[in-house]
Amino acid sequence: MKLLNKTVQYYFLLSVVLLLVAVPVFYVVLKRIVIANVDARLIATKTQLIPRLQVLEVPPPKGSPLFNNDISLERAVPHGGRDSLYTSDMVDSLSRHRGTYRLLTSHIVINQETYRLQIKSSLANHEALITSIIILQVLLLIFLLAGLLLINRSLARKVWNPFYKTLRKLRSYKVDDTEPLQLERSGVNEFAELNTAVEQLADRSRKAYVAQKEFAENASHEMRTPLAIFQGKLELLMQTSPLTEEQAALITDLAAASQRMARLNKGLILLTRIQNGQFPETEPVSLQKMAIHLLEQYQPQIEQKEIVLEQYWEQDIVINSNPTLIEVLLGNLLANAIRHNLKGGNMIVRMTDHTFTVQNTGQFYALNPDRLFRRFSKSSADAESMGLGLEIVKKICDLYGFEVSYSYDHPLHTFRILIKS
Amino acid sequence: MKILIIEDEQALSKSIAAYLAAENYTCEIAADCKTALNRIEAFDYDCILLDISLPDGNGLQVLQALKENQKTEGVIIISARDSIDDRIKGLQLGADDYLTKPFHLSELSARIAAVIRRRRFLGSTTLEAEGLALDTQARSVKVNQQPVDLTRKEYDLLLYLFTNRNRVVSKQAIAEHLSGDGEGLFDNYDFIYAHMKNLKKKLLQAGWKDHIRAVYGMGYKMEVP
Repeated sequence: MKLLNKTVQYYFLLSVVLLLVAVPVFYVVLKRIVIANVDARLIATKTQLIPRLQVLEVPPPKGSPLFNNDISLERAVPHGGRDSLYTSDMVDSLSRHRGTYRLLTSHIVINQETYRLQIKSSLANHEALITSIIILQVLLLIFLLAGLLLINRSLARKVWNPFYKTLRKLRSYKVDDTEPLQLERSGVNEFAELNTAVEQLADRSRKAYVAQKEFAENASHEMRTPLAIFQGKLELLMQTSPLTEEQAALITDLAAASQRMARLNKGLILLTRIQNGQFPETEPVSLQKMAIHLLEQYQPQIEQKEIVLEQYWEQDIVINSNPTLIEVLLGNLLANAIRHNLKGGNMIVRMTDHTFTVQNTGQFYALNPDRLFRRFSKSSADAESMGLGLEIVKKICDLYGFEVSYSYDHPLHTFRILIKS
Repeated sequence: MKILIIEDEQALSKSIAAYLAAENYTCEIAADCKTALNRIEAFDYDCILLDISLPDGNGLQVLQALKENQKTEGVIIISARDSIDDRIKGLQLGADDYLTKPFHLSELSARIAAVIRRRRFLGSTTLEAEGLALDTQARSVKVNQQPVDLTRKEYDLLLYLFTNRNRVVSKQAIAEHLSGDGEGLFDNYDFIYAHMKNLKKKLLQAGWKDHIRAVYGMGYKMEVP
């Protein structure tokens, strides 16, 4: 739920409660005022009438100018009670309309006879007035509420605008962007503070990222000299004599290990370089030519494993990119398909106008697609595969906006690159 | 032949010198720029191995000095940095080759031989031993004056073993040499055996006594006097 709606929700709730409480209260209060008013008038009429009636010897007949339609005088049993005021529904004798009346009943003695004097006043007009007032009030409140909501909404949108701008920028921000995060200045203190804090945070993570990257780069480079020394000494060791078979076996294992370290080092440096964007030179590269060239280069390995290679070149893809990276990309995929293949297995290479697919037989279960493209998550028993190859593939694909996917359809492992040009 | 090794890591420069000594190269070592510049001024070398990052400055200075003094030494840069920019800078300043650490000494030796061949004998050069003749210009091989038809890989393999003759060359080094950058992707060296088998067969058929010996699955050694 948006913050905006949240606040509005509370306003709305308050307004509804107010409306529900205020309107009945208002109605009751208004009605009381009206009744008090009517009562006062009835009593005034009575006080005016009584002295005049008491001086008469006989009660005046109906139609006497003393009376009107609202006043009646009837003979009654003696009554010592006080005057009574009450509200009652009754039918008007003249208009024959049913209506609510306020009645004042009083007993007076004229010529030793007790008479009951009744004065009534219609409340119909007053009630109509109260209803109109209440309707007006409700309408007013509703308009006020609606107006408040609207104003609040547009105002909030305007006020929150810098916040949404910051949010948009944050969402598109990547820690490896070349530019540091730059947010707009805001006149509102809260947003200005937020932006400063966010900028500082981004700056810190960026610095940490750069430091980590530099560390990886430096460590990789610094490792090269000792590696070179190690490899050199090993080669000298090979030249010593006498050399027993046992020693030779040890040296061979060491040589293989140092070779692996050298490869790992190369892979790490390549990854760092891709992340650093150090392959800016681009030229049109024909993927088909590159792939065919690589396959030719790997021919000895393909023959060695007696792999049956099928190639389908439907349409060449020429893409503006760095040839070195494309060579690494295709080379890694093709070499993987050879390396992880079975002896006498199959390999299918296919290129259409927007995809490049490599399929190969291999182990009889699917690889874990979540871990596949991550560093050092090798899933093969092949100890010398360095577990960097697919991450490099992924990084190169990311760089050029390609999409790489993996699927397993028994018995073929499929790697597909979707190229959107 | 004289070689100057400009490299601040003593362990490495000593290894290089020891390996190259077997080839009758005389090696001198300079551990910093200053010594290197003095040496260059005083002596002539057939080949200079140059590390770029030196304690007292950039190795490219040495290249500059060579250029200014119009010296014609062959220079091979050996560096831990391998970005394209570094390579281009070095080669533009007149280096003949660029080798990234870590490297195989046998590879270094082959590159030195190639640089010296190019510099020394501008015309055709023939390497000979025991009736075997390699013409590095025409990339052709003769055994007792009879041409032997080798594939490109077989020729490269033979030349590589020849320039590292009488030393054990590891199969890793051979694999890297033969497949260039692609080597990093494979861990199986079986393809070397196939090339080696064919090469040996062809040479044997041409009447060359087999001087190439496998050393305990560690590598190969061409034994010629």
